[in-house]
Amino acid sequence: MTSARIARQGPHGFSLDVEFSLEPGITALYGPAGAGKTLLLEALAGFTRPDSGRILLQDVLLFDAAARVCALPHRRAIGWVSHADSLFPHMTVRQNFAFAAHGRPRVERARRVAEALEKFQLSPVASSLPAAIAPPEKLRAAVARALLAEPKLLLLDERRWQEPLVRQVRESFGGPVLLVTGDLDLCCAAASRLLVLSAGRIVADAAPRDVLDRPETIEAARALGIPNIFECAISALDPGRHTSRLDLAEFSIAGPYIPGHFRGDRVSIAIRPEELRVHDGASAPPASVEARLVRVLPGLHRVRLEFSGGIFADLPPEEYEAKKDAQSWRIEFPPDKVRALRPAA
Amino acid sequence: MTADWSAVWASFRVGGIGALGALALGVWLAWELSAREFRGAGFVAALAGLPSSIPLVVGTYLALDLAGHPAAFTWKVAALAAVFSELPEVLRASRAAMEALPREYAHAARSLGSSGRRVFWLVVAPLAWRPIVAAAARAFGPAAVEYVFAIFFAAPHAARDALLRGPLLPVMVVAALAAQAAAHRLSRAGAAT
Repeated sequence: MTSARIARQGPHGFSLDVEFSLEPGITALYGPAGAGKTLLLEALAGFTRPDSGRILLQDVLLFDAAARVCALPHRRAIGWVSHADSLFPHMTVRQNFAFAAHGRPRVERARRVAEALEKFQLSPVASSLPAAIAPPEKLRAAVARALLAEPKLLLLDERRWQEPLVRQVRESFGGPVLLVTGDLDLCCAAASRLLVLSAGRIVADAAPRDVLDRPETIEAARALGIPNIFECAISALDPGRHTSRLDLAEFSIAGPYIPGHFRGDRVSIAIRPEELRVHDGASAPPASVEARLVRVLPGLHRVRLEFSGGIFADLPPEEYEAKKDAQSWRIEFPPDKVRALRPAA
Repeated sequence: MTADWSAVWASFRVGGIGALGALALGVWLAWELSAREFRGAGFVAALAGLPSSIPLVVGTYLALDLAGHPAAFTWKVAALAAVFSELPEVLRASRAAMEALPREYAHAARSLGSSGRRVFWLVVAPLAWRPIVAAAARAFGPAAVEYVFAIFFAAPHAARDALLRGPLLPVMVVAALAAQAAAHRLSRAGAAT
């Protein structure tokens, strides 16, 4: 069993307070800047001492504040790839690998280094210093070096992780991997579980698709970058049709049935900007609400439109081009895409 | 008349031992202070920096007083005094060099199963040695020259004339200049890498 309960007071009033367990496979850790992701990894690796808590790695106690147990970082068997380059700059890639494979007989060490170079397609740059190789190769080398030390847990801090490399890690390493990433597509593609960290607390912990499609709390929705979070009053509930009517500040919309609530209750709801349907005023369905376009934020794959009432909608560039001269705008909230949120515990 | 080289060798011994002693002690203290968190670290750092707060005249007086008599102020006492007087500068340079290294290197090495000693010798020392050795080279000059001046002013009038005519002053000036030049070169090479 691998589990951690970590509490640590940081600077400027920040505090990290998390509890989770890790299973073999890739667990993605997602959160905004300053959420405490790197601090959490450093506490697990032993570079930072938590104020309280307990860390168990495959049933071996690494840290227990109450029992005053704190294993040194080099005795934890926790591999770590930092958010910055950490290949030793005065050693070649091969020497970096040999450093990680120390403590083994010379022949075995050479064999393991050669295997790692081959496996991560680094043989051509084996004799190069890190400064002379490309960033993707540096990242592969850092991962391969971490794996050469045969860790029981692998911590991968935020880098430009590419799916093939993450898949390769999953295939090469049978233990738990905690991967910090800001790429939600990568979370869905490569991770079996997603932890969302916000202001030092875990606000969501489930399969990536579940977390993204059905954020449960306001904090999780905010951490996932969903801008459309509204407070509303329930004006009607119909469990038979699985629908509700929700009154927002300036308009009302149809929503899903919200179990555990009564008419008149106030709830928070969220809807992803790409799930809203944007119509020009002339061709809008009656269930849509009128909104005034405040500003346009062009993006590479999506154009984000900000409307009055704090409504954000994402459109593909070609759809925006077709609608951009609209005289008036109406927004449709598909009822099945509206999520009711609960406040965090 | 043959030149008296004994004072020259004594000065070299004082400067060399002073610089090497300060280097060893300074690097060890810098590593402990930069790599570990322990109670009293601030006090240790302040104590190690204390010699830089003691004026040279006071330090010399204390050394002579401790030795009991000017005649007892041997090169060994001078070398010991030099180690402590040069320690603050070497410690400051060593800490700065070690703390300037990205901490990812030491963290990565620790996560790869390396003990603190292995991290120091294989990762930190090869990356940070230039400014540290430059500080030790810079320490050689003052340590050696202070001893020259101490024996020069403590010597009787006739002996002082003999020292003035001897090789002591020119050799020590050249040696101090060479040490400063080496330190400068090392610092520049360190900054370039």
